[in-house]
Amino acid sequence: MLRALAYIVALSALPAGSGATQEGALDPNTIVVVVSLKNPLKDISRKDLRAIFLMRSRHWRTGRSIVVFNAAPKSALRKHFDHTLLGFSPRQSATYWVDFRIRGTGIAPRSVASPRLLRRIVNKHVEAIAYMRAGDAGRGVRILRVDGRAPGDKHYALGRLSQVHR
Amino acid sequence: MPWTSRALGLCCAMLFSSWADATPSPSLGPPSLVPPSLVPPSLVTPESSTTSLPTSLPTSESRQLKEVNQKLARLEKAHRALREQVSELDQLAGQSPPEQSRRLRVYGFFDVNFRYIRFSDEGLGRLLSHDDPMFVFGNLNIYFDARPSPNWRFMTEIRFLLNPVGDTMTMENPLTGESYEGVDTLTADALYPFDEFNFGAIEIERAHVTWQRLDWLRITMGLYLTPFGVWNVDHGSPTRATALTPIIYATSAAAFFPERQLGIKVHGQVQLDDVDLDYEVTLSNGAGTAATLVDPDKDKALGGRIRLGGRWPCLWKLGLSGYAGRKSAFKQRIALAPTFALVRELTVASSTYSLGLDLAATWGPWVFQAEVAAGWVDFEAGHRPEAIRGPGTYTADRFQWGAYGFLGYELPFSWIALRPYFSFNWVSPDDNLPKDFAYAATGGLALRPAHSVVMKVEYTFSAVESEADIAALAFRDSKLKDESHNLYIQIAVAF
Repeated sequence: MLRALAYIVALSALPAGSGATQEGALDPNTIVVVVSLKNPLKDISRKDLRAIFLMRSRHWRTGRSIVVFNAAPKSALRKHFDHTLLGFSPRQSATYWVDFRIRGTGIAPRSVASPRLLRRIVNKHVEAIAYMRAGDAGRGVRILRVDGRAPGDKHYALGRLSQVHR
Repeated sequence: MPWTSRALGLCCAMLFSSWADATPSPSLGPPSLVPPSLVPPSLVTPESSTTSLPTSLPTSESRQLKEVNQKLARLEKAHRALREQVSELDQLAGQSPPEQSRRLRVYGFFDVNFRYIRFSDEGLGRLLSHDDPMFVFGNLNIYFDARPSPNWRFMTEIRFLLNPVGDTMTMENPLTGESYEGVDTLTADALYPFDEFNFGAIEIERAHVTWQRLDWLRITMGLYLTPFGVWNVDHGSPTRATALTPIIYATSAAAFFPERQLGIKVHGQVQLDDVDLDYEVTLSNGAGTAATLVDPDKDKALGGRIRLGGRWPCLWKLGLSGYAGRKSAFKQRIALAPTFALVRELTVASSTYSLGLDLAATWGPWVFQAEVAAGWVDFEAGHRPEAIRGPGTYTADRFQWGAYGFLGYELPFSWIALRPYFSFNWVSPDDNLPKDFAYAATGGLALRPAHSVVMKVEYTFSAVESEADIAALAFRDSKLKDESHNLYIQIAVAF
């Protein structure tokens, strides 16, 4: 009990702006887009985000290749993200990536099911971009604002994982 | 929160924490060998022992045994946590983005078909094709895709065929005295002396290297698919809308756009507000059977495509394609006089100018796709091909056009993707023969039992009406009407 109290006090003393503080203010089911802390990007437009996750834009402004990571195809998170950002149903999404490959355009981004692993990958690689539940985005990754709005803001583009999708 | 108050908070936390640690606890023992960061917080305070103690042991010994057991349990849990971390790190290393993108990837598609074509009795179709119901080995295409460095990509697509075994080389002809000859590729199997097999063919669909440092400017060099329309870009049976090829791509495609070209392509994509813009500019050897080997023309073929795409009021893409190139055929002979020389003579030469317009849209469950193509063929004086009507007659310059439309509807079943569709094709092959035309009407059903598997069942009625060349070939009346009923069942898989 005393130990738990000690942790609470310690957490309150952490500097503002760290991942933990951002998470604290957020509904853990809010969908956030994350990049590495080494990536200078802080804000991204919904249009650019769509282009990136459709693999139309493949380079950061720095010239580095963008490495996109998706959530597992049948996960609630993936369904929500595909629907909210890309306007795809799960079936349309799957067809899009099959067509993408057969046309010779490229291959679909890699899917990573474990949020913990995904967070570590994004943390490690400056080229990476991914999305996850705010509750899964700990320290070591930067949560991006979308169209100038922070996750949790009233008109934030990606919303939160709904009960239906969960 | 000011910095000083944060520091104060930390101090308080440390005091609380040290006081908590100083409180007598059954977990008190030697320091753990596992770094605290690797042990989940729930493990720091051990739970009750899992081992039952013999009641006969003295209190101090039983207490020691209990502590040892607790320590063992802690170590086992820490060991499991470490193993999980090692496993995750292994995966992490395997998924290192720059490394994974450099790997060679192999994927492709395959389709097998059943077809039954019933030609009209008076038509030429029976002569030119089989009308027996048969299974057809369609496409077995393998892609090899590699990124030797982040800015370079190599991709090739190889098609494996059972052809040419069984093909007709010459037909028996009472006028010329030729006998029937088919292709037989039977050869001995070196490994098993008493075995034989028919070797097949390999077709290189495309092979190119691309510099892709910028999204708005990429440069591809090699053998690439002509950026034209929807069908040619869709390319593979799992992606294409119907099983049967639209007429503008089948019979007279060479007069519109070549399917592929050997040359260079500059392409890229730009975002304009809510509209996506893709462009492609091509410079190549052009069309013709030999264009992928040699190019006897001084002029290179120039082509391009611009495509706009948007999401309002529905998902749509509108493309405009163009192509201008010289197509030629030549023969080579050895000349003995006045001096020994190798002479190359141009036999047929024409200039082709083509335009294509395409639209693809998805509105809820509705899928629409349409293409219009127009082509002008101008033969050069002295290099016109002979007409089928016989010696002394030559093929005229011509204008041809064709179009098709496709409409499909995704039925609202969640357990399976089912799409009935309808398509209509029309081609006018020669403006000198205004009464010649071909058309086809198709109705079908596409279902996807899995995302990568597409099955199409379709019926097509097609008709060719001609007053000229084909009728002359058949030595029939001046009017020809060739009708056919086509049933296709295709199953295609992407892998």
